[in-house]
Amino acid sequence: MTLFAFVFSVLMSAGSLAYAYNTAGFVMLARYVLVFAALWLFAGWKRWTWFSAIVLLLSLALAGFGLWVELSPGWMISGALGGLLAWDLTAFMRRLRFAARTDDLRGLERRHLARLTIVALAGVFLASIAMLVRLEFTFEWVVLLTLIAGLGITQLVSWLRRGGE
Amino acid sequence: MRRSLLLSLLIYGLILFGLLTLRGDILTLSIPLVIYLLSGLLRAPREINLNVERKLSVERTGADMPVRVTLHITNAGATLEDVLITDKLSPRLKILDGSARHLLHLAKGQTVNLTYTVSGPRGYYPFPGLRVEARDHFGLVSREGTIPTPGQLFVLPSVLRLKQIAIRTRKTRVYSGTIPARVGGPGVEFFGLREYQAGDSPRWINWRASARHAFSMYSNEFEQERVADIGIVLDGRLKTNIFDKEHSLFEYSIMAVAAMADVLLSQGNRVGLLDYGRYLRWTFPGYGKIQRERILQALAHAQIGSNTVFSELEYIPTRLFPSHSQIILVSPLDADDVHVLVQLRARGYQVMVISPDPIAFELSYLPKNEPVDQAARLLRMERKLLIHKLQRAGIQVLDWDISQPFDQVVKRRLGRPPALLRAIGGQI
Repeated sequence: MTLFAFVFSVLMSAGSLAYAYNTAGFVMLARYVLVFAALWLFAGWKRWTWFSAIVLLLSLALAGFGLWVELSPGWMISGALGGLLAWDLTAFMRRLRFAARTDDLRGLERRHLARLTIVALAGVFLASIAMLVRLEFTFEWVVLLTLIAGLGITQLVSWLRRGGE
Repeated sequence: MRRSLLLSLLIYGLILFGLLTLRGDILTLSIPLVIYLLSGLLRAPREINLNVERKLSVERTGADMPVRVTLHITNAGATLEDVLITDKLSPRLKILDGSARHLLHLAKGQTVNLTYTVSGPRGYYPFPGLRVEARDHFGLVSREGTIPTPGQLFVLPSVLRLKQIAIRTRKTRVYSGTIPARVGGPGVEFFGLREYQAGDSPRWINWRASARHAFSMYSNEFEQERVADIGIVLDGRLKTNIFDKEHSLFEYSIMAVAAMADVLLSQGNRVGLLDYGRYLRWTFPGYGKIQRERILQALAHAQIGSNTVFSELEYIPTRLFPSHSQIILVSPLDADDVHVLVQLRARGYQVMVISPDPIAFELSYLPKNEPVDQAARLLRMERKLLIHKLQRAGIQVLDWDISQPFDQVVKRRLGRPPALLRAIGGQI
């Protein structure tokens, strides 16, 4: 189940990015993305868990670059999200290797995939809304709002890490 | 790098990139990452509060016998999404069935039973506790801890059942036993004649001697049999036990000590054990089954070790052994040990050496060729000379070729001769 989800995530990420870049005329880059996807699957098979962090970084960079050069935002978000999911599933598959044969592996997998799906859907939904709702701000307002958002996230993360006291 | 840190850096990187490029849509790329991070942190484990109870099917067993370990775990705290429980085991224990590591989801108040079966060689195996690592479902935050669940397993050495062995000590204790005490009184063996005393059994009257004297009668006197103080010294020195860096005679020494302690205790003697290796481990002398258990547990702990202080036998603390008592040294022997043993003998101790033959042992691992045969011949001559020196000092030496069963060697060399042979003063 997890392996299937991992392969699907890799294909979703690489397919989205490659398709968008190919359509926009970046044919060589699209080919490199596909080659990298094959390498990604190979790394998953060989259990090179460190590779997933590189791939996550790369998929986000490609998605960011794609948005910068005005490629379709939907494909780019899909590519970034696929990278995130594959990164998570690689770590989860590694974690599952610690389980004993008698442990409830299916239950663990089911719960993890359900939560991951909810998070992915929520991410896509909120990102889509953010793409659709375009408000006009001055540059100063954008900087201010971004800084406030960054500080807010930092505060929230530190509060959650402290245990929500 | 920690996963949450990597994710945070990526989020801030995207925000920064969006700001630098003045592109709001790049900022939106960070939204799924933020939701993922917050979702993981929101369900991060706050505390680990597990009640664990450990049960072992047996706490003392023999080598390579299966022992079932059961862990009864109750989650007394909040739900743990993903918890990895690892029971810390000695690397010498082999897991036969099940696993000592489990990945679980533990709801609040949930109870699970984890079982596995282990076996191991002779030794003492404490179970210090469980290592618990709880994480949120995305593995962003983890909490680790150790839950002490005390338990211990003694894998005792196998005990060969020996029949009675004959030893003669210079000094015995007051309780009756099986060791001839060199004192007349009630017993079995003829000791001498004395004048008849009122109360003597008519069966004791020596009619032949009495017939030679007109006005007096004589009774037979028997040798009293009593228990004795016996100290067993187990030689655990690295230099005498290890050959070719991997083969060890120590297990044979352990087997001999276990068998000797068992038979001597069953004869009613007071037996103590000194483990002489990396350090000194003294099992205080005692009687009976409890002492047998103490000695077996001490043997389970026994290990080979090297220590510059105890590399020679001269530091055997003789004060631990009552004067004129029997000392049994179980050792492959080293040439430097002779003077120490002779000194012990000179101090009045009755000394016996049980020596597993290191030459035969080492030869069994070497190829058969001319140089090896010659070396073996030389070493055998040296060992014979060593044993001869000890015997000349009045030390009883049992040279044990380990290819022969210990009980047979003991029966042949230390067994009590049958009554018929004893009557005519014969030996087996």
